[in-house]
Amino acid sequence: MAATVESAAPESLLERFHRTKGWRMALLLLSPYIVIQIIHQAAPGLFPDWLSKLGDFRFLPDWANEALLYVKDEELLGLFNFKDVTRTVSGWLEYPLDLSEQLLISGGDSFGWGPVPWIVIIGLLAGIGALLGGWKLAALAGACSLYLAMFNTFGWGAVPWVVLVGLFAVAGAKLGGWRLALLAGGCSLYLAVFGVWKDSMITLSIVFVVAPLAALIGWASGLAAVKARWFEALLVPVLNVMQSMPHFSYLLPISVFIGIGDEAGAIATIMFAVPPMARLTILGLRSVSPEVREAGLMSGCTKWQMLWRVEMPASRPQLLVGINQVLMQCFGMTVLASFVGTRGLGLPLLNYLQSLRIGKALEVGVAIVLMAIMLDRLGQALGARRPEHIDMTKSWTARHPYWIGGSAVVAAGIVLARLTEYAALLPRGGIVSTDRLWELRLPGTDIVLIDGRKGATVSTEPFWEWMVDWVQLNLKSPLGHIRDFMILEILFPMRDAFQALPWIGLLVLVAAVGWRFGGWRLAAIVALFVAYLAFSGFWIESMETLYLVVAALIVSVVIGVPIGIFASTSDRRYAAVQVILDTFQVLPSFIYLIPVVMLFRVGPVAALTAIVIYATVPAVRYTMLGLRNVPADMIEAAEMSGCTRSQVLRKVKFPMAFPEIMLGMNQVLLFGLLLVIISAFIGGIDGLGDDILLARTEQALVGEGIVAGFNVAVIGLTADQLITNYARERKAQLGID
Amino acid sequence: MATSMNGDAMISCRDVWKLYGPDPEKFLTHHDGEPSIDTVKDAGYIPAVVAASLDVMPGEILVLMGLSGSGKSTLVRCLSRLIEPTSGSVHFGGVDLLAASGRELIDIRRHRMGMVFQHFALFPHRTVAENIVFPLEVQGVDSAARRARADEILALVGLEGRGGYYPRELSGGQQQRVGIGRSLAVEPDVWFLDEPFSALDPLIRREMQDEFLRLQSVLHKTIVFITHDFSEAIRLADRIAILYEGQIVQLGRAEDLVTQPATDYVRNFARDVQRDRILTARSVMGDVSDAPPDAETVEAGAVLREIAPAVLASPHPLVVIEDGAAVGSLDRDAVIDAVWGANEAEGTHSGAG
Repeated sequence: MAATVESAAPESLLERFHRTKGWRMALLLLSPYIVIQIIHQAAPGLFPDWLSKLGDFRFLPDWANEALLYVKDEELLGLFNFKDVTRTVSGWLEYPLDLSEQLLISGGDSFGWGPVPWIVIIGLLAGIGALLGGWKLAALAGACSLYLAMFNTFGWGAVPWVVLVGLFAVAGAKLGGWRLALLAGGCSLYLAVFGVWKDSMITLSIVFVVAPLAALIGWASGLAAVKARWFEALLVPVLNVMQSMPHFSYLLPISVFIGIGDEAGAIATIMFAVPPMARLTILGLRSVSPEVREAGLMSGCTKWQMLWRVEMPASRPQLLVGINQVLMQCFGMTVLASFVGTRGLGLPLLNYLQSLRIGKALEVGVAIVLMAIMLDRLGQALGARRPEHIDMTKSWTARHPYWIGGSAVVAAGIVLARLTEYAALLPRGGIVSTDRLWELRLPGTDIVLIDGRKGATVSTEPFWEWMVDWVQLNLKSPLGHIRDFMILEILFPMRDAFQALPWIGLLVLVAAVGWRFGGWRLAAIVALFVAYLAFSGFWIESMETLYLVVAALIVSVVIGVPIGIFASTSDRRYAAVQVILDTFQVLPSFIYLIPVVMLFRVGPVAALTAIVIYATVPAVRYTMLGLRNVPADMIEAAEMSGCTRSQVLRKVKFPMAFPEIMLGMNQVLLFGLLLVIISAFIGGIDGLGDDILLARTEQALVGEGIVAGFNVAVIGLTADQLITNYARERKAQLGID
Repeated sequence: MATSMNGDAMISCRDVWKLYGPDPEKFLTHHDGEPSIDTVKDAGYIPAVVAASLDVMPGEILVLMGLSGSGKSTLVRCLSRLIEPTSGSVHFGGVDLLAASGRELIDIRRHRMGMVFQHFALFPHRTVAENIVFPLEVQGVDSAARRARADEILALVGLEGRGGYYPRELSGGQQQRVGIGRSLAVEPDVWFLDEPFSALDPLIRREMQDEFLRLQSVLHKTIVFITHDFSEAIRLADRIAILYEGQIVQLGRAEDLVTQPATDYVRNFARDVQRDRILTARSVMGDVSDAPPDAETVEAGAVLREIAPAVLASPHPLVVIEDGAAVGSLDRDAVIDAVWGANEAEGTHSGAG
């Protein structure tokens, strides 16, 4: 500013443009686009066709297909066959997957890996445990593998469900006191009692294998990135693309190379969960304070000692946050991987949704929600734990209550399981016998909430069915009207408008915005992105996807920003909304489809609703965050100037929070893009999601699916580049970070 | 300054430069190793340490004093080679520190250096005792010896019974006691303290300064102490180096800085100090012939605060003696001038106190 005041030279047009703000700037940025539109509409002769619609290019999908087939079937460099490699990797996964499933649910009769005797494996596992986490982890690993060894020695089955429920409760108690114990115990009890135990344990057994692997790979790559600059330069862009790809894009290539099944899902899940861990590892290692590092150096640490004794432990909180994220990503992805035939909670949900057995789907859905909440809260509590001194005057038993409690649970559970098979393994949900032993009715009605049948676990299906029926009966017609109105009056016209966009117009618009916020470099990048979309062969589909996401964005903002404003006005509301948002955030995206299908069945309104539910979370969160972060003295200054509450909001808080809210919009878009693909599953919308879903079942269409998935990523990256650059500039102007 | 090393010094550095910028080595060589500050800045380099030379004598407390950004932290990190100087030489206990290999440097740090940090820099995942003996642990000292040493140190820094606590469970002052304990665990020859008490409350700071002096009276370490607080500097220092924009503008005893400030910058610092606590009889005494031969005597090294009552009560000047011999005289006016009239004497604005 000072420089412009001092310089006597007249302001150039460019400088003036850069100082223009608000609607004037918006108009300026839009003007080239408007000109193109006018020419396009008014003088079609002047406007060559290829500038508006490109022919049906199919070379990218075809290339992708051919490349895939080549990689899959030919020997690379005459050395090895890629498919063999992937199959080998999946073969490696098979053993731990089997083992963990046997441990948790299916029981087993063999333990030992080929000729390696089980005692060696136990020693190995315990040794690894000791190396990584001291005697406690060693004891845990040893106990687990010892239990496994009992399979063939004593013919024990899987760990009895009573033991697992008890252990979850003990873990909850250790990590977060009696509340968490109640939560973890209660959630796992629900899983056990309501007939989803087997499926949930299969899911858990996969998560137990893939989460550590993903965490390890992510950690190693994060570490490498911190230690070697060139690797970071390589890794970070890859992470950016990976994290903006929809989940499904991971499933596609996997299904080609691995086929379908648990291993395919496991590998896709690992790939999906690595990026957040890598990021948080980088963040964690970078955030170790320079003084702590120097203290390590001055103590005479070698490089190796610095890493293991100073940097790693000091970045432990971030690493634990990373591990929690890995855990949740793995859980969500494992559920979603049912699309490639991975077993677990996702598969029944998929089947029930497909056969429109909404009641059953809801029951499984609740199980998924409870399991997600349980895992997340346990993981968070683990991450939030800070070391505390131990009163050494107490006895050993008093110092290790949870270890003793855990051991007691295991011992009692095993004995109990010997006594009654109901404590060992509950029969899978579903009707074994038709005699209803007991039932729980809604008081005063004949509506059955829960029924208990002989030989079966209790089921809440009647309750959910009743709820679905009620919704159908009472809400069908108003909802139908809303749906028809939305489709005919809003969504379809909007879609047509998006699809009528000449690609060159969008390119110019995006480039202009890019130039304004990030100069020529950004303009070139985003223009390249749009050009890619135009030539990818999926322009129309991309626009269809974009329109749905933009529509969802608008609705999300309309709903989310007021909620965010409301929540930011008091500490209590803020805390309460925060908890709700956190809960929503950990649910696998798949879950959002259930209520939507219940209300709207299929079609764009259903998809839109699902996206809105999912994407409103970041809209609320960032609005809240932005408003809360406005410095208190600034608000006091406004109040002392005589502002009313609404003036404070409009004139001080909102402008200050605006960059943060824009970042929220960015997140809404990215979330929306992720869900729009999944929504394709419920049908009734075209767009990129459809191509990706089709590719799942048709091998010949995998190339299409991958390119379509990449298009989704490109749309996301374009928005991300523009918005983050804007927010950075604006925050710098406002002096906030 | 002398360009040869002082053989007696514990730490001796000559002409140490630290520049930040695109290619500082080349820039320095290009200017024959002695560019002016303006040349450095104009070329876009940030001068963190400029041609610093100093000697730290065994058993001495040398305080590096300057405001933030004056380069004192960078200088001390050059002396411990946490930062690689752009040019210059640093000798540590007779060893050329900058020529030491990575292994040698680790060895020197493991046995001969200790450092205390402004924000304590404790390892959050280790207990107090584990923090304290961390330097021993990385050397491979066995756990029984470590435990014994931890107990000694805990007693030394006044943290008995807190060995099993984690840093976050302690107050700031206690945390810094842990930091001090850790830096002393290997019985280092040289003790670096980087603004160790700046992050503490004023009352705790005072207490920790006393604690520091008590420790030093027992341990007799060679100390390089950084502070931005002039009163802390004069309280603790044998000698003070004042830094400004990376340069050592003056190095001397507190008294020298007060009585003969080299620049206005130093004078500004010295202005508000309690002069009666710093100035000694020696620095303000007059000619020995002014006092009657039978007058009472005061020691030359005594600060004015201690002897002022005697001088002011006496109708005639007193005799100043050093090692039993009369070396000067001290009268009321000299004391009053030195303590209360100094500002006027220097022609600067006169304060009420």
